[in-house]
Amino acid sequence: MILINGPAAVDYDIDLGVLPITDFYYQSMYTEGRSASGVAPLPGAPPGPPVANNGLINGTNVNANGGGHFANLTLVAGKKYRLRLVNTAVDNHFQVSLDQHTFTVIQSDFVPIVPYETNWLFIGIGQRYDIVFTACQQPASYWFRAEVQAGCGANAMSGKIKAIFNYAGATTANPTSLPVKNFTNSCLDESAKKLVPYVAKDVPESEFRKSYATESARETLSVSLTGTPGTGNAFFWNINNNSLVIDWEQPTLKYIADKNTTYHTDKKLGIIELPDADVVYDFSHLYFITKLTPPSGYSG
Amino acid sequence: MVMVWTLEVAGSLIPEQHLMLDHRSCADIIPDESVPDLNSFLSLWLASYLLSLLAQSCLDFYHKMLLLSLLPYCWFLGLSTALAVPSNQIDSEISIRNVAKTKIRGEECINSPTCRNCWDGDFSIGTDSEEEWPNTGKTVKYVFEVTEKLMAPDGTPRDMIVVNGQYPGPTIVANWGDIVQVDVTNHLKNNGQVFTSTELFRSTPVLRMEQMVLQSVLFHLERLEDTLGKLHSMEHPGITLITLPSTVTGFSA
Repeated sequence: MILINGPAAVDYDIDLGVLPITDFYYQSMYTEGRSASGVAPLPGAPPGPPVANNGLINGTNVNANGGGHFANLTLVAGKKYRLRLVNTAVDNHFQVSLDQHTFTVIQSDFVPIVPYETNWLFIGIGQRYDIVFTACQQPASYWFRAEVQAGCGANAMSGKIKAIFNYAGATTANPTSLPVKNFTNSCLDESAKKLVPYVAKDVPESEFRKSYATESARETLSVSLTGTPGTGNAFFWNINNNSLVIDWEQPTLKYIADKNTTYHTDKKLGIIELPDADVVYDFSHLYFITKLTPPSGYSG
Repeated sequence: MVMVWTLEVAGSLIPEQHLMLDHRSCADIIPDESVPDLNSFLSLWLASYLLSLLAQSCLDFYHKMLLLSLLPYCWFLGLSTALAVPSNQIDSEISIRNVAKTKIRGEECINSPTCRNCWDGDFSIGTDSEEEWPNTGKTVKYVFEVTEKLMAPDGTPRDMIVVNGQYPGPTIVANWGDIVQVDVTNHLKNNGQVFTSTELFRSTPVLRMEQMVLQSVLFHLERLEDTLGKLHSMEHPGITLITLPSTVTGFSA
């Protein structure tokens, strides 16, 4: 986890730091991966993304048998807090909320944004949002909820992935609080209209006029998702109709170190070659505009 | 196996004379909280009432003079309190945003709980972090030991791959402008791979490979700009060195 101190658009008293939220699997990634791809299905598991066994907030949660414990953060009444949320899940998208409190969103993926308020915040996989809230309620314990969104993740403990935010001096018993309001299930990012960068940078118009497709097919990256559920060959993300498969004992850079030039022809390495050597390529203006239609039958 | 992994939170090649765009005081930027201005309302109301009394002709000279002497005081009180908090009529977010981009010289703009939009006097939330950043000259160093460990985050035991024996992994804390250096040692017995060099690195240079043998990679990440503003994802680039499992959120998130 990474915490970088810097200016923020909204004042706060205390930085609570990074709060990671993730799905959690009891089998190894290797086992789950082979099951998901249909190579070695786990008993009863259809090919495709596995159902997570649980979710963790700050690395902990209660399991289906009542084991474990909830993450617990202490608040002082009247103080304003900054919280850095990150979804480190493999396959679950979350909406998060703190009962009876409102979030002011100030940063998205490390980019300061024009602050906006929300009760529920959607966090996609790998996304980060920094929020500020005030401990302005009756001193008590309140649930912090991470709700798995149906259609973009499945979790056996869906609805039970929670943490406790406890006002100092209040009872430490499990909260009885209710959500500030109900969330609407969604697999969509926060609205782009809300995510306005604090320092806005316009994409130069000239960049849009450039048609990479006609200049060189090599510069066009088509992104797609292949596979049909139940066929044993499901769910590979492709770039240029190719899915990256790396032999861990033969990482790409090792080819160069070994002066092994077969990487030129090995599609599985997913290498995109740039046409000219000794040229500085400016990737700072690299824009992806993707339109994706999932194969029919895909869910989860 | 040891990997030295260096990223710069803001870039080393800082120009000597960066633009002094955001030199202003906190008071210039932070509008006051909106407070119901009861004082000014009451004073102005009282003044109006006194005026209406004056308009009545039945008062004798003495009382008229008394009322007249009170009037300026009421007007003064009412107007001064009304004018003292003009910012409560402004949309605070918009005004912060505009003022933060305004060049105001004078007092230092230093980060504090009531001046979070300030940083160190020269930089602020209004700084274009792709163009300029603080040069702290400080390197923040971390040592990561990657091991296998049986843990039970939710009470259910399972083998995990962890950094420094803890889950979640350690948090890298740095100030905007610092250089971060992480020395990683892979102690895994059953897994050779440890990292996805993900997201921290903007545009460039990304890697200068200095040593590269199986399971032992030494490289530097250089001149990484604007980390405050952006950490670009480079997940699963062609250069897949090592993969940290999702249990180590510092790298894969």
